[in-house]
Amino acid sequence: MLRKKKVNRFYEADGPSISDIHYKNIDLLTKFVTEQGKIIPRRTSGNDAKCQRMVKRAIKRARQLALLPYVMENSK
Amino acid sequence: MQIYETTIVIDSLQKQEDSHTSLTGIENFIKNNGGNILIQEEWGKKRLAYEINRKQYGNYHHIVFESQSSLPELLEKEYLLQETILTHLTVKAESRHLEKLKQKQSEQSSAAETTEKPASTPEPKPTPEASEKAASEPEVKTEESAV
Repeated sequence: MLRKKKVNRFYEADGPSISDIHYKNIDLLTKFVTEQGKIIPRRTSGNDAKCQRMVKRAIKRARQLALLPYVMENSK
Repeated sequence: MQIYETTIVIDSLQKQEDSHTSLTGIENFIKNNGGNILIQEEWGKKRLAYEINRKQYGNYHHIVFESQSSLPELLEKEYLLQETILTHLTVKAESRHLEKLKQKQSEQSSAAETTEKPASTPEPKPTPEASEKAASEPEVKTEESAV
């Protein structure tokens, strides 16, 4: 079975840079959150440990400011 | 001195005056406690991802300031006293954001200068009278100095 190759999108030339990871950048952060609102693990997202840590921190900060939900409305 | 970022969510149902006073109060609090405001942004009215105190919308304000390490703790206490603030977050600015913050600061300062300039330009227009006065004043001064 073919598996899609995992890619860290922060190291791609046309992808977002590390400096874009910020709790106000909701469009980027929603790509690392499931439909339920859970943080996607790095075995799935392809992030390395450093990027995953930054993303995790930004998501948790965005949740505190009610920019991102802890649990999505449709999955309650 | 350390650079901090703080974001506050003010209840959108409050009157504009009330939200404005609470925001200016926070700005003054930062300034009075030795802080220096670098960037101030208004993200506008946004829908909250979850209800807070049965409110669905909030006005977001983002302030970047430079201060001693003791100020954020005091600021958090100040936020808790303000009833109009739904949530708040104060964090240390991360090193990867510093370049962008500096760019924004220079943009905001240049924008502030351009807004100030038109206000200052109308003043020198009445040049003929002013020049006459200016011409007459030094004469008086010279007389006084001579006496």
